[in-house]
Amino acid sequence: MADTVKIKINGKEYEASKDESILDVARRNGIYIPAICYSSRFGAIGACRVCVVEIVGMKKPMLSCAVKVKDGMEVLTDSEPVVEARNKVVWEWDKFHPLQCGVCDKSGECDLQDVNYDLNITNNPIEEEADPVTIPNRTIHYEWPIIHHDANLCIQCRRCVTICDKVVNFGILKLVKKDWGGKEIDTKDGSPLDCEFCGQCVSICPTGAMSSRLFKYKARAWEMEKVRTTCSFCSSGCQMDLNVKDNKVLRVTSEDDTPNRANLCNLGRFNYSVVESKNTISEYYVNKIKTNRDSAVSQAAKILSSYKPEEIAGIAGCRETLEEQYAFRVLFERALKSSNVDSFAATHIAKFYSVLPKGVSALNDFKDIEQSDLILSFGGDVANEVPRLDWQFTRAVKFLKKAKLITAYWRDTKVDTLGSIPLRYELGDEAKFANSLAAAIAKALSVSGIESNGSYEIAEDAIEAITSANSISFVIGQEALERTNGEEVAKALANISLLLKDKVKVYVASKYNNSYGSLYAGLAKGFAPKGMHEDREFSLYKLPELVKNGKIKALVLLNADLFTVLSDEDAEYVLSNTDVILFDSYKSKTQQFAKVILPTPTFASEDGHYVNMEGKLNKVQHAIQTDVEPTLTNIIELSTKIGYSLPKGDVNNFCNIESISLETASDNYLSVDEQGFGFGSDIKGAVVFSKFRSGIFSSFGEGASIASSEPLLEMNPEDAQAFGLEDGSLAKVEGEGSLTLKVKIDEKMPKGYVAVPLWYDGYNAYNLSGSLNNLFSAKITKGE
Amino acid sequence: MNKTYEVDNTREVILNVGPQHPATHGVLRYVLKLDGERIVESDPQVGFLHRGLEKLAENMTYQQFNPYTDRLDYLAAMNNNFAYDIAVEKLLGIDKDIPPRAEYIRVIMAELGRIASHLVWLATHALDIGAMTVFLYCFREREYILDMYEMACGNRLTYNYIRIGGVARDLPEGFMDKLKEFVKLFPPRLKEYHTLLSKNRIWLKRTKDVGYISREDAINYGIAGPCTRGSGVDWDLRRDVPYSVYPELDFEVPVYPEGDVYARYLVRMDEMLQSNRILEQCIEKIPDGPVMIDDSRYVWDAKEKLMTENFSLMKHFVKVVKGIKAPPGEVYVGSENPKGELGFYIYSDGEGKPYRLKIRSPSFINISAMPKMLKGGYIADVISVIGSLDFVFGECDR
Repeated sequence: MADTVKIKINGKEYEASKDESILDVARRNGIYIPAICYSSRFGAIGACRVCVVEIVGMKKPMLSCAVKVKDGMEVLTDSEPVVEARNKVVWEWDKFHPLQCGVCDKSGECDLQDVNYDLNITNNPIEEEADPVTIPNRTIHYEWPIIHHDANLCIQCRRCVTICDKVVNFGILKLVKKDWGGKEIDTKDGSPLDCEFCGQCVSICPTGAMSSRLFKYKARAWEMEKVRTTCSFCSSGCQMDLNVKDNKVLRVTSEDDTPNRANLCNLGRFNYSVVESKNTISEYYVNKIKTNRDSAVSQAAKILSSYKPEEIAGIAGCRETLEEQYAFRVLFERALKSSNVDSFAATHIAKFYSVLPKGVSALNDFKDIEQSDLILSFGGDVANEVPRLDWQFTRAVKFLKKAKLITAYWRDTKVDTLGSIPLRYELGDEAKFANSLAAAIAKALSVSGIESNGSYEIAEDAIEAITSANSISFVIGQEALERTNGEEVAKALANISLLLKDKVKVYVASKYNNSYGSLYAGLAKGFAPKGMHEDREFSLYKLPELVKNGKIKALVLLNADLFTVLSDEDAEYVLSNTDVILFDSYKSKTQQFAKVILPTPTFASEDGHYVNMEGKLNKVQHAIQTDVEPTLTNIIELSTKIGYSLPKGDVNNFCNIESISLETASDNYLSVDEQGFGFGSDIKGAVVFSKFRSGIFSSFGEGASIASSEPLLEMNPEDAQAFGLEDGSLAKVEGEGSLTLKVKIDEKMPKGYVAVPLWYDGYNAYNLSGSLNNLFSAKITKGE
Repeated sequence: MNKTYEVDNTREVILNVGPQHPATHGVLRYVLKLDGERIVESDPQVGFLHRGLEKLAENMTYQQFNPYTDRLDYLAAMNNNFAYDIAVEKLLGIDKDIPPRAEYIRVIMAELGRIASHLVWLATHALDIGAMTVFLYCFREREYILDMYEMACGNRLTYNYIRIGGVARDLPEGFMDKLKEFVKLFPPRLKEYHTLLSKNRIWLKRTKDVGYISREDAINYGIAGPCTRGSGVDWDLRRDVPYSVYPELDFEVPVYPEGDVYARYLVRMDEMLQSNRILEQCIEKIPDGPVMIDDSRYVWDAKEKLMTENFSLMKHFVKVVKGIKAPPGEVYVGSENPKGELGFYIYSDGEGKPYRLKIRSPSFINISAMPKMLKGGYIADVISVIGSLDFVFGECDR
């Protein structure tokens, strides 16, 4: 290879590629060079100066993280000037570092401790010379929520600044000059921290300067056992370690070698307390009376046996493991002999995957986004839907500076701050816009078969970028697919992906941790495991109607809270006119209607697999012991009592795969009905996803509820002025029903639009939009 | 081991001894195939006290494992500490830098440990064969030693006094006086034991020409310590693979060629006298100075330093939580323990915990030679041979 060069480190020769730094080569070959600010999560900063090495022929020691290797380079890592230079750096850090290891949370996993040990610091001349009276009294940010910052412990390596900017793309932290003369880490404007509260800064801080307020003083680093599991909040399937002591999850960490590069969002890192919230269900109930397991399961079997197969329907909430969802499917197919099953995946990803064209790669590795030339994001605020996509975009566009970004959405979002080609459409026009885009691409590629009224002019540079790119990551947001005309949107998107099938990799976002598992288990319409019925009349969308017609009389809900997809009115109607058997981990409104409640363990007590949006099976391991019977056992028990003994081995065999594959449908271009949502009034309302929620149960954790305590109505400042509303004042929103919410003024909201978030405790956004819909015509008045 | 016997004629009988038996010195199960009183075949079965110490070590820092070595041969816990620590020190490359005072203290403790261990051996060996008096006498002297140990470290059975890099603390005031008193008092006491046993007719009948093992077999079985020296093998690690300050000390290695229980008895009796000689020399030679190496990579800093210097405190946390980082490599160090050669093999991959730690346990190896010694002997010989091999199950089963 032309790119390989040979360098000598401490007299031994090593091969390296040209774009590697000296530090990279040394680390790869197991040669120790200390480095504090360098992290494999974002590369070199060049701030700490402790990674110095001597390059033969150079006068001064050089930073090994910054210097790229050259052929014939000779490097010394332990020569006298090197030792002297790095000792000086460490002395400077140690100079006023408080003697607080005994009470510091970081103790035992602190990089500063490690460097002091590894370099064997035995004296500190700088400190001896310094006057103790001059010890600066730096700021301790007690006022920041969730994240605690003690500037006295900070060594100013700027890791937090870098990760906030280059990984999270939020960039709120900065080294700011302070009155005492030196610099400290603080927010850019000095106001209390108000950010995504992802805690990446906590995870990267080499010392205890950035720490988690939720974990403070709870346990020492070495006392906890780390259990690797999969995050249960969205479909990105981030690998994380639950840190457990005395059967309690005390914090969540992640390692650099995970596919998510130790990155976690607010929900993943700080919302672990959901597993011990007071809202978990741990008892069996029949008719709201506590009972034992045996009688609850028997009662459930009795209820189900008393109905005809076609009168029973099952809905899966996409939260349980693949094993459990599959067992649930088998329960219906074999024991109840009913094909009336559906899952919440039907509201979004199922729509796309049921029209997935042949030859399109639709389950892809997240890392491929970094390799692509172009990212085309359509129809969703991906930063809120799946934060891991946000980090991948940031890495591709801002960090590696490799990819272009096109965002097609109805408003500017966080990812647009990366520098994008914005394609904007009117709310509700997703199908029309997607079809126009497809037609424009088809025209540019001279492909026939796609017809469009051409009602949207697509910017030339976007088409140019799409046609000239060699590899495209096509990211589809959940929001667009959740529209009432989601099928049409999906068809148009399928056409686009078919047009670009040689170079496109499709990603479809989902806010449910195991919605892909429910597709694979055949729980959504149009999907079935081998040997099971594929065709079925029943769907989640028809549920209210079927109940009204008296066709469905019993419901089995697998962790499916109907109030998270239906309006209160519909959900109450459905639930009160059916006999409901509910498997659930958390208390919900649905629970009040259930005839039989079978508790399920929370994700921290579960074993099995989740399938993420890459189609990979990620292992879920129990970290805390619980008395609650595993869901799988209860489903099998229920199945046995009904009359079909479901072998556990079958379930395990079915799930004994590494990644899933989904059947593709056609290789023809589909015709799209461009008809959008008809708004009745001037103000167009949208129901959007919040970064801090994924299902109502996520409200029960500390991290999410501190970061975002209540749903806010987002609107444009001009609109707000017109309605006489201010930031924080109450507004009454009327759609199908009405809600009173606090106003959040957002410059990024286009004029004439409002947005409300989903899934807050004690609140249902579907009351505005109606069931299984996320648009509404809004009427805004001042609220009380 | 753990064979199944089949008896093919009416003459032979299978007899099971132990694992709960007062004369098996721990949980040894011994299966004998007898022809009348004669032993045709025999098979020691071990493992009843297995605690997985070697595996436990893989999850502990080097310092954390130190107290676990006390639980090997609990009759000579100091010697075990010593053996483990010199192995770790060799791995760390600091074995030549241990302060001389610390080394002398370690030798004093080790030789006291040898005497104490041999006293228990003599007491129980004699008791098994029927000499009750000796038991009481020996425990009286052992009490002296335990008192001294208690002075030095506060404990009477498991000490954890000898540490990586030196010893935990300096000797307390009055220790040397007590030691001087002991070395003066002990040789006459040893003579008393000789008068009780060495020419006792019953003792001779029960030990002479019993449990014979030849020089070749002793070497082939790999048995070590007093047991081989009773078969004429002139081998003592303190002299032949010297460690610590043993080269500076003058002592003899007692060797008897007969290879029977009586020879092994005489070896140990003489060894106690030699240990006493070493102690006398140590009293003369022990220098002043520090008792712990000054190398803050591997040993704890002084408390005053921890509380005033942040680098010292930070390093302390790394040493305690993650363990001292031993350089990658492997090391085997054997040391002359009362029971024989106790060796530690440590493989380090550069982390704070041993990647693998293997203990060469003399008790285990000595037991393996029992069938050889007993073949053709009488059933009553089992008891004298068990006594003469002087094993401890904490160490055998680990």
